[in-house]
Amino acid sequence: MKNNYKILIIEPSIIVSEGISGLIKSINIDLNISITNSLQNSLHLSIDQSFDGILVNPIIFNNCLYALNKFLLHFNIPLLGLITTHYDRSLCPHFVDCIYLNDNKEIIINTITKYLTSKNKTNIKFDDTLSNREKDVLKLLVIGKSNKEIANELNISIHTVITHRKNITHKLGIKSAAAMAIYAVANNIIDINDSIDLV
Amino acid sequence: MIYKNEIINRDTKMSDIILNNHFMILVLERFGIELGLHNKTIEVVCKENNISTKMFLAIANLHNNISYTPISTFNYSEIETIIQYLKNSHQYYSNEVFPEIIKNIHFMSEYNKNPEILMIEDFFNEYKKEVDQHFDYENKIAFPYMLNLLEDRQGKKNDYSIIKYKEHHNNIEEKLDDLKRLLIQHLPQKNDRIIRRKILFALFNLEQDLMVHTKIENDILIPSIEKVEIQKSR
Repeated sequence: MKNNYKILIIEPSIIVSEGISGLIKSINIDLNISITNSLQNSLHLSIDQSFDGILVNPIIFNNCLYALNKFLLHFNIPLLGLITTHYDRSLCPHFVDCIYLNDNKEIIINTITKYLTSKNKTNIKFDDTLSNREKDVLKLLVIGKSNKEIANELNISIHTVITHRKNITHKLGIKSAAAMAIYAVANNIIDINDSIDLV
Repeated sequence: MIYKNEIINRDTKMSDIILNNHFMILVLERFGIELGLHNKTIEVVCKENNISTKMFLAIANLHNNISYTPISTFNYSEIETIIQYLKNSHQYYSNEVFPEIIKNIHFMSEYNKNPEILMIEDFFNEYKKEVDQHFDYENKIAFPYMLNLLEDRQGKKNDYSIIKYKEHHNNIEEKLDDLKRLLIQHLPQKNDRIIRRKILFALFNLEQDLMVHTKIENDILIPSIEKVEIQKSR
């Protein structure tokens, strides 16, 4: 388990937010809790810090799915719903789980622990350096070899070649082989003379 | 004043849509509308220029907001106007935008002597060739077919159909995006700050314009022609 989880609670009622914060602190995990009562403030807070978990009351979005979706896009992590009053059911599937006002301590703590330690975090990876194998594939790709030829040469399956290609495109954001050749020359993966025919 | 993304209607001042989104200068140009618009509304300007207001609003709104869904019931002369609009756009890309970008890319290779910059020049030339071919196909085969169909010169005897056009309609934006990414993310800058910025600005503008261009073809032109084909085959 990692240490120092950063949690954000977005809840208009201070009674609820302080209460839930107290309960979270009683869990035996190293945490750092920020509390805010408005959507606007949560966006400000997110400018210079990132969070591992967000507990949010759907009231904050006025029960509006559009606002919730924009929020999800902005933070890009699963949310835990904090339900204190009547709410729109259509929002529910957008939370990985929910805590309700009348849940008991045990349930609340279990829900939060499960939420924080679950592996399905969708944080985007920003790493754009290619692995050595990906570089091998790229080298052959930009001199015009087919998937099958690449598979033979590197002694891997075609399926693996395709996976490498997908990862290369994902990491570099480039789709065409001609653009990949330029990338490869700029990063000294191949020599310009090897690629000249392709571009 | 109107705000970006707000829906433009016939009573909006024509000058306001440009002040709000300078891209509209191109839209007016392609419709043959000249500047010096005073305070005239869109409806008045369209009437003076003999353009369907409905048609103009559909295209102007698409340029203002790419997710706008235009209504697609246009009469024959309106469809002809769209085709002319698309032809005018082709000319603008081929005669103005591409040569300017190519000139600047060439210029960049004089500042930045890294080998990959020379490759960029070939890359863009290749892209231009592909797009020109695509435009050529539209200008020489697809559009004449549509115009003939509208004028009923050949009835439905021609064995060409909009289905073929749809098949031929591939994505021309992918390489443009690749080029932007190379210049932004992957190629180290070397004495080329100003020229690279100019190229990027041009690429972003071109990309946005092409996006609407494709949308006009897919959401307005193709459905309209499909309707005409059904009518004529009866």
